[in-house]
Amino acid sequence: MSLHGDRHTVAPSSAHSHLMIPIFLLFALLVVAVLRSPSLVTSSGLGSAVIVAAPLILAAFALTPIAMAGRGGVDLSIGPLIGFINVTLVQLNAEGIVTSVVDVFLYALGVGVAYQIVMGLIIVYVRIQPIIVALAGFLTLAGLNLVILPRPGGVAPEWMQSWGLGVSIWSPVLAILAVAVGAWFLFTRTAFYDHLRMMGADERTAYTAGVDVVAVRMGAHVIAGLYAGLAALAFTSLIGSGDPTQGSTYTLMAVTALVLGGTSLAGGRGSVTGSLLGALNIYLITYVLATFHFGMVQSFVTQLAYGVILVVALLLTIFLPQVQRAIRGISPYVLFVALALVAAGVVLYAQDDVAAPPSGGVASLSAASSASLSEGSATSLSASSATSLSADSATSLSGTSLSASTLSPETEGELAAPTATPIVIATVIVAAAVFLAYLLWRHPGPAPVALIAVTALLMLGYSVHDGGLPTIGTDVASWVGQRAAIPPFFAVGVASAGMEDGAVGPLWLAIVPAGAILVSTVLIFTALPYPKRFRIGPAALAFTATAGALAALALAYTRSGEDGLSPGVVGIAIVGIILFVVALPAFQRRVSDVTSVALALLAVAVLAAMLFAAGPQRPPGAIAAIDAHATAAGELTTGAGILPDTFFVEAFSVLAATVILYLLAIPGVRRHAMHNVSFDPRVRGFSYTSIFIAVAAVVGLGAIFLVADVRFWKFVVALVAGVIGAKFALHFLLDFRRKNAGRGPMGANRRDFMLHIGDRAGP
Amino acid sequence: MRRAGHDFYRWLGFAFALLVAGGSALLGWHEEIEVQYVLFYAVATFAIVLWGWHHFSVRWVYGLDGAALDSLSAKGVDRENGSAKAPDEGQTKSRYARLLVLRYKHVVIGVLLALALFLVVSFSIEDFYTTNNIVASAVVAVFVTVAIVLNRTMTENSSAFVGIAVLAGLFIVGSLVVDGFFAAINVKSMLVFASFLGLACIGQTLVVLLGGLDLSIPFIIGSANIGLLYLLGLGLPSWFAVVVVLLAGAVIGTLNGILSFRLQGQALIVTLGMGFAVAGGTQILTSIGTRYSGNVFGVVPEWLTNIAAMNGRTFGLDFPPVIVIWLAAAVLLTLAMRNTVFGRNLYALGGSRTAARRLSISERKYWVGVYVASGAIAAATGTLLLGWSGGGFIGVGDPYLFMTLAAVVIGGTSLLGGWGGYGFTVIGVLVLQVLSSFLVGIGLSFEGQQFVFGLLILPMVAMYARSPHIRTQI
Repeated sequence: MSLHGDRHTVAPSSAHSHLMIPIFLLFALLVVAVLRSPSLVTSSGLGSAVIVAAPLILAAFALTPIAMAGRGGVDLSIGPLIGFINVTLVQLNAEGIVTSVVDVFLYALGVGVAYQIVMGLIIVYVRIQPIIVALAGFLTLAGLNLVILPRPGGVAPEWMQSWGLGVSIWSPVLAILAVAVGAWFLFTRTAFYDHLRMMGADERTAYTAGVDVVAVRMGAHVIAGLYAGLAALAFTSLIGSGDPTQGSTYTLMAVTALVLGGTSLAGGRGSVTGSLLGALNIYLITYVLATFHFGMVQSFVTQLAYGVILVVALLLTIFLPQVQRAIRGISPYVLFVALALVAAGVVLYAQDDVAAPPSGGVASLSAASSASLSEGSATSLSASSATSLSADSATSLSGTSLSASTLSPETEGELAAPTATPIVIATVIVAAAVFLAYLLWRHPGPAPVALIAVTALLMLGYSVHDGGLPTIGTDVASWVGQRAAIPPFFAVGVASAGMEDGAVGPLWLAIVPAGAILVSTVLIFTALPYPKRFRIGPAALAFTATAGALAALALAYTRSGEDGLSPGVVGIAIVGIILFVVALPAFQRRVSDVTSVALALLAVAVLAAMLFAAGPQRPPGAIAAIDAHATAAGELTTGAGILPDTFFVEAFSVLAATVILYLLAIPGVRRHAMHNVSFDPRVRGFSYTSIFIAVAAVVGLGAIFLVADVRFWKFVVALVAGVIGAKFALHFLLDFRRKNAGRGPMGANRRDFMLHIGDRAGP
Repeated sequence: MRRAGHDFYRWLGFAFALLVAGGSALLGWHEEIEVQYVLFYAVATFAIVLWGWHHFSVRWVYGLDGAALDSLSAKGVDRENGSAKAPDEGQTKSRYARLLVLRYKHVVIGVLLALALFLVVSFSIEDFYTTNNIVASAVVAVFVTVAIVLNRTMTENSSAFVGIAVLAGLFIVGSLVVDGFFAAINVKSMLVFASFLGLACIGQTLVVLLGGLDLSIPFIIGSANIGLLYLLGLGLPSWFAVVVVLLAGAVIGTLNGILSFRLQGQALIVTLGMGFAVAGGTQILTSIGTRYSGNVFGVVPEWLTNIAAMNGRTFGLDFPPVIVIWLAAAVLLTLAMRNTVFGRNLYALGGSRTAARRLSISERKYWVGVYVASGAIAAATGTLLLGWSGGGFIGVGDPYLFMTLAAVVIGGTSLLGGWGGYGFTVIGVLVLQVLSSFLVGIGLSFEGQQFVFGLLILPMVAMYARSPHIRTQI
């Protein structure tokens, strides 16, 4: 029995599978961030992102080797150390002692290393617990910083002033980051790195195996000191002056990033990739929260989010082995690529289909898109078809052409809503419906019923989202209303009648923590291994509650409208997608064929990527349009009014493209897959199959896309997404078949599609 | 041999007693106290020190330390004479002195360094070379030296001994250097602050005894502080509001306990994260419907002010009841830890989880229990701090983030669990509070104090909480 059990617990798909969670989180956050604020993916947006995130990333790097070295070492003093280097650097710069580039770098790195060496010596020779040493260092340095520089001030070296502008992504800070990452990967090639991991995992074993534990620990501290110095430099360039207290805040953020990145605080496990992902996640969380305009309570919400995320990330590490078992067969690399495709689609969509907020963004966007339009026409269409196209689009309101008339205010309201959004919603709903029907058919019970109810609720919520909920708002307001100046129940930080700017309504404030808690609950429940019956129930309950809260949130948010913030249908779609993805694992255990669920997920992902990419241009001012159309939201189900004429053309073409793509790809791949095509994504090479797929797909799909007047580059993107997606789909299928071959529940799947295709060429 | 060692210690003790008595006489003379008092106190000090010294030295020489000294000296004798013949008294005494110097060479070097530092400071800083400072420095040097030397010879409770020695030294130095240090008003204020810190440390001590950590204490304190005022502002009866706040603290503690029990070894991060979530959530809650985000206004009830404020009165006596509360809690807790099943089980669990499990002691129950206590007591501290200040402020708990831990560590409770107790923490709290008061007295800002605390923790921990070398663990 135990042998049997062991056989199923061995061999996670990859040594880096602890990266799955941060990868997933990264892309989920990226999608939300881009949709909330598309300016993130402009050159200056990315540039400032690099500048702002760099100190955090480097601080998380600095924590990594010490945490890996074991003994529960978390260098809490990293924040004050950054602050210390910062303030001394500024002071020495003012004195004219340390000014040149070489001096500054040498000084920062030298101080970092020197401090870490002292710390390491105390840990090694005085043999005090690292956490106490770090604590003492925190107090000492935090006090010393304020003594050296009582209040923020001073200036960074002159040549560093321009670093913090962040106008372009190509900044020196990016170079520092690149060097830091590269240096770490060189470091991982050394025997020293193996010694470090071994010592962190089990110091006694390492000692008896002849590892010089003193030297390794000191080495870890030296490396940490180097990264701390770099972090201080990045921090100095970010703020351009000296700040004695700001640096200390990096301690908590860096520790959170470390934990979020999957590094074990118990030692042994950790990677700089994880720390990088964790730090990026922290940055994105802050970014996303900042786009919500919480007004006065912004910093509190951020604080709350940090705390909750820290705890939830830690809880997830408990279930990491179970998660690994549940999702084995999916390597982090594949997950990364698949999610990156989705994210790329969303980025393209946000860049070109969603207008920038009406204030300011109109001119630049129209200029950019008309330029790209002319380019696209020159590439793919003849001059005559271009003119006919623009004439056509003026009437069909597909928004492909951005004529001057669209900029005039009186025509704004007539513009169409983007077609991609309803398609995505429809896809998700259809996929969910299919999945639920299957679930209900195979496993009747309360859980699927609850899920169906929630989906229905979502759809209902969408259809009535402007039709008027019961006015509980006024009741609550009258209840709490003894206190003066209660903002409207749905207020979301915008000025409204009688209220000052930035007032936030109670509903919004209540929903955010509730949603956070419930989402964490769901995450925890879904991460539970092999859910037993009693776990399904709570999971379904939590899911229902979360969905309710989030739907209400989306509704409340939509109602706020008119400020350029409203996510409207996009918000609801995102909520739906997230819920769908989050809820799947909880129920997948009840579905005997895991593979079909994975396939459905992948299909949704690839389809979403394609649809996002293939969606037509959306003109500026369309947010007003979408609001106008949103009044007719119920018409989505009836299919009249809101959908532009090209909707069916596009939907059909994309659907047809997908089908053709798969028809083309899968037989071709199937024929060659078992013999001469490696589906290991790490193996590079140019396979005959992919050329075949590419050529056939280009020829076959080109005509359809041209008919649907989708622009050429979008067509290319969709094609690439489809080809890569098909390959990975097959990878999933084969992998699952191999992994699950011979397992009991899988025996019933002989008729299943994926097993069918691999039938003749099984392993 | 033993006789020789005994003699040496006796003379050393005599010299020390003479020194202390002389010092106290000098102090008395300096403070212009009447001669008969000076004489009386000097003689009394001399007698007490001599008696104490004799009492201890006999134990050491014939007990613990004698054997080591004997072996040291025996080696020396063997090497020099090659015979077992006992040398005469005088020779032995000087040899003992030499051996002692060799044995405690670090201490000697340290003292010499301190002396050098003192000289440098005296020459470089004006007005430093005053009688008070000289005497103060001498007292510090003597106390530190004695503490370190004696620390080696004590097998248990050395942390308490060091703590008390430091405390006594601080009191003497403070009285010398800072005007009004020993005045009633200052002592009272020190005790009030020590009460807050001491109460906040109760939970930390219990948690640390099990091998955990609770960094959410400062956030719970701050949240309780503004949360209570918010509830009072809503018009709740004050007793009910306090109960609600305490219950909320207990609930947060429960969460802390359950989560950190599941995440063994990561209590630090879990509680820190929880703390942030709690602080953020409370501020959001209290910001609802107001324009003053994060600022809460309200009227603190009279009785709460009386309990904690400096001018509070206990049954008509001129000190706030919070001191009595703390002292009572300290006594009760110390007794309870020694004499109740709960306390004994706590030590058993902290000492060895496996052994405790074999005894059917529920690990989870005690672990969660101490966190619940910690959360509730932190909320109580926040409540009392509201009474003290009269206005809500989320940052009121911030100094307690590391101070609680520092007090526990300085007191000598092992962070690995199983060793220590609240009595030790009380000593740690007093040391920190007296030191802080002293540093304020000599004009150091909060940052400077933090700096000193940070530097202080390491040597104090190094004296009694070093981990064993790795080669001894195999």
